[in-house]
Amino acid sequence: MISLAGRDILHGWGKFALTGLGLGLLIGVTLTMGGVYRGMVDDAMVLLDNSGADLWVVQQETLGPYAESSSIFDDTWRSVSGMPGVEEAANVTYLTTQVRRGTEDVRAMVVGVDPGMPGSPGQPGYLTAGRHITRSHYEAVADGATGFRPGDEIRIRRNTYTVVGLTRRMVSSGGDPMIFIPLKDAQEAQFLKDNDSILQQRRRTASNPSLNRPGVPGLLESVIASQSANQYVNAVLVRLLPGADPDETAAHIRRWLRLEVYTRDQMEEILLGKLIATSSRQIGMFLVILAVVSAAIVAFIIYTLTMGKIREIAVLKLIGTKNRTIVSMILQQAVGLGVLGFMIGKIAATFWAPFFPKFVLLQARDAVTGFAAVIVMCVLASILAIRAALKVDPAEAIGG
Amino acid sequence: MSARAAEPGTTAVAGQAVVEIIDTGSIRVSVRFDQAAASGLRAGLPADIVLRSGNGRVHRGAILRVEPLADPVTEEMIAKAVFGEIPDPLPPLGELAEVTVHLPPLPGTPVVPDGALQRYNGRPGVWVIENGSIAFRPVKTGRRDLAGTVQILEGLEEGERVVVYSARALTPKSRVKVLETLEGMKP
Repeated sequence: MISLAGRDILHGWGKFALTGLGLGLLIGVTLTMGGVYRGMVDDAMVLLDNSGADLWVVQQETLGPYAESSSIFDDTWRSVSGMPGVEEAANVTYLTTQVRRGTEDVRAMVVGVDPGMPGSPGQPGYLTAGRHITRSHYEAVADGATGFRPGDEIRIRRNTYTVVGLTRRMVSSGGDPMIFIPLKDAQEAQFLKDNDSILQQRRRTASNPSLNRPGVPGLLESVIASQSANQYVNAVLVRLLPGADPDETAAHIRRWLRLEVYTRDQMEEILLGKLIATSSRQIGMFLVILAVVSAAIVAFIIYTLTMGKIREIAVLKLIGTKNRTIVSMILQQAVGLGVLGFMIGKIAATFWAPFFPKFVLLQARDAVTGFAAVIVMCVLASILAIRAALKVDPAEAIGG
Repeated sequence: MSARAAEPGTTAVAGQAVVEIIDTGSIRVSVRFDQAAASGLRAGLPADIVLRSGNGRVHRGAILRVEPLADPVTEEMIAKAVFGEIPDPLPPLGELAEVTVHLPPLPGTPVVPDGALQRYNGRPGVWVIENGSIAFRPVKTGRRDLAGTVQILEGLEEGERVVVYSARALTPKSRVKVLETLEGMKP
């Protein structure tokens, strides 16, 4: 038996291919949108993975350090280290800012880490070039997405840093690439004011008679020194001993140090449920609408494609073709169009995903779901068309 | 004379400075070292001093003495460095300077670039290339120099190949292809 569907497609292959291409691009856009959504969630997840922490110790009653600002004293890590179950604790600061190289600037999250041995919490886990930070000042390790290269001089607030290493996929929850700098510099970048305001603050203090008394030498100097002190960090990252219970250690720290502690699960909930909740819902909503619209268009295309052949179908009926043969022809064409469209869409999405400024994650599982949805859509749409085709009166072939 | 704290007619109290005088013959650089990274610091070590205003010019000098009292708040050791030859013109006092101390060489041990040190299953170590696949080897590290070279005290033999850079976090199942440089990452 000859394949009616195949013959029909060959008969009008140009039309079939163009329809497939259009459908494919539409499916590609839908897949990409799904990828954008997944990428957003993944950005938040890698932020947690890359910090290498099991617990986040932050200021009491804040959702820090990512969702809210938090500042704690920089010697807190020492008391945290003494808690049961804690293997290692490290100070960290986060500051999202514009980082300048020459005349251009890049939006980045500046992370202040203790330049200890690589592998301590907060440090980048792996490098793609260069080395880790070794000096306690003016060195930086940047994410490759910033476009910086080892040896570049970059400017963060008041100081110039040399890029000594590159890493990859180190991003903030908003998708901004990270730049790691030594903790002391980061504290300055975050808390130290500019020269003008320091000078003005000194003059303000000097003109205050109660702080600059004639009979008390040295008082003014002490006051100024205490004003320019800066001993805060945003959070302490804690790595637990193997086998330690995070909740138990967290409860200890909460009880005795009176600080807020988040475990990995709680942090995930804060990031996904609070920080990126609205923007991801926004994308999710758009994805749903796009998927529904794509489905409707696929259905209409298949319906009109069959309706265009209604005369030929009538002829087939006139010459006594079985209904089953006609049904299978329409169904095969619809599914064929779906498969072709999905292939084009998948290729297109894979091709253009790397050009997006933020991370687009195309998951194989999403592709499978998408494929199943496309095929189901095609079958459903062809049922409509089949009903119309079967109802057609054979007389239409000669009448009309 | 660098400061005059009292003018004619000022009422001076006991112990108050009237003028501040500097002996330009003996300038010292007060250097602060992170306690965690200050092992081996002692008087007499040669040091390179770079002044902030000096456009990167390196002055030879030496550590004069290490203060017996460390700073408990900033967790730093304090040392005084002296210039071998006092720069002319005299740098302004209070200027920021960067001091690099040269430590005596250590006995030979295997070393790796610090990019190779990674953490897997909570243990620090390196990924060793064995028969085309990789295996994690916990190591004990010693000192690290400013170029990022880390001394390996235990866990590695001389001549073994380790993974320095990777495009993603590694696991024992990762398939590896050995490249001399990562694509697009040439310095």
